[in-house]
Amino acid sequence: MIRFITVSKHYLGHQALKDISVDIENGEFVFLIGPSGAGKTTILRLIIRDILPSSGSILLDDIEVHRIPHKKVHHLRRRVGMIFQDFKILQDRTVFENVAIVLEILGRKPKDIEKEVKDALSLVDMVDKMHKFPAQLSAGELQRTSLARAIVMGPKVILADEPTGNLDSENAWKVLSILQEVNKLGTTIIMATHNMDFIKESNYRVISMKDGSIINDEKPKTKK
Amino acid sequence: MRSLKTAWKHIRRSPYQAIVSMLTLFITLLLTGIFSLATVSSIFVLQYFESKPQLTVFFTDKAGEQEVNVLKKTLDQTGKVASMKYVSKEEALVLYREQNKNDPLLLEMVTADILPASLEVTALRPEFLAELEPLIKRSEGVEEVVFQRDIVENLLRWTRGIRIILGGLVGLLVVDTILVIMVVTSMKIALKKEEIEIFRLVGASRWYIRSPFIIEGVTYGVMSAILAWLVITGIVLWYRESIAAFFQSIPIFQIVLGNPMDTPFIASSFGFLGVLSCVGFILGSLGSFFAVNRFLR
Repeated sequence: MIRFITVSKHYLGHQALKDISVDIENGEFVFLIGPSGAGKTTILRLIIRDILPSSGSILLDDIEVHRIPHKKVHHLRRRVGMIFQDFKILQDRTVFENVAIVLEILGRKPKDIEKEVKDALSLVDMVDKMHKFPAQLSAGELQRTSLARAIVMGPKVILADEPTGNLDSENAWKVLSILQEVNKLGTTIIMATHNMDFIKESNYRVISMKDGSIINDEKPKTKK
Repeated sequence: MRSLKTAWKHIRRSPYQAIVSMLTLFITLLLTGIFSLATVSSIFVLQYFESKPQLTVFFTDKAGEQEVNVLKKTLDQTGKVASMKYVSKEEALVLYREQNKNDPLLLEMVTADILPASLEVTALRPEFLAELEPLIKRSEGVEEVVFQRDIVENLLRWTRGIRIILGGLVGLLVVDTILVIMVVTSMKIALKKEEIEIFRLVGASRWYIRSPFIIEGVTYGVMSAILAWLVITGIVLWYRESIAAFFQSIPIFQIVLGNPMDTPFIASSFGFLGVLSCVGFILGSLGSFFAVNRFLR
């Protein structure tokens, strides 16, 4: 469970978040929507402790995220996968190597790495491209590589910061579909997006933000 | 293994930066090595002179056992004397004969009566000699005081001077070297900023990110140390005989420099390599550690 308790964040006089309190249950799929500057990315960055809150508490299960010492932040990030609008893929490594990084960091054996990376690439339909370099891939393929990197370590939570922002409609839906598959396996997904079609076409919780505040928190409609 | 591979990739991909780092480290270690050898040699030279009787008190013919004992007691009470040895007229004659055994003419005319009795005094520290001198001169039965103060003082002055100048120079070079390695590492970090950022986001520990850069710095340090050691050993071997001849009266130089194939030379040479490598290791790792730490902060 992710819990924000009256969290505020200031950036040099600008208040990015204002006393946010919200709970996200394990296994939930949550859309974060709102105009640019609403505070969506700030929420995601706070969860992976890329930044610290100005006030308030953030809990991931029983861990007080904001209290984790700087030297131990990597333990948290090994439990949380992250994907970005700009993919953040290493240009001098192949698809396979980009995904394998995460497992190398965890100190897995080469044999296990090969199997697990192939499994993750298979989930995002990228096995046939695993020896290609990023320059040889389309935007959709780059984002799917990034997605494979996020899921390969089996995270409890995946944070997606406008992952479809640079993709065409077909690829955007493909990415969402993969995230839905991963969510079905029990992973919590928090996705910041501007794509209103996703919200209309799916039945997930939607947290709307504006000027650093939550203006609406719409739970999924129960199926009849 | 991964850190080693990555470090080697960093070195291979930026050979000019690697050369600059290694040259700077090499010069620092070369001068540090020469400075260390000069310091150690000066310590041995000083120890040699300090082990010799630094001060010889010659007594008048009238002086008897009582005067000698009074002086001995007075010197002992100062707490600044390491040892004292009384040499009687008869013992002085034996020594004289031994020193001039190849010159019969010098031996013919000399008897024990001509030679004065003496007291050989060694101070705990060379600096005490100046304090002991007036005390001895004031004592009954003392005819003359001869001592090696000038040699020891000159030696002390020179070694102090050398230590200050070379120490200062080495200190500056150490700072310069750490800064050069920091700048080179920072440039590499700047080139790999995005990669490091991705590593951090996917859960790499600080050590995982830091280790290739530190191993790279250590590689520069150890390789430069080996180069500096080769150059210094070459110089020592080239001038071995001249150095041994210059310090012919000091046994340690004869033992170490006697034969380069013997254990003393090989042991001290590899010991020296070990010390230089440690210094190189510390300098290389410190420079890169500071640079990466600054970025990871």
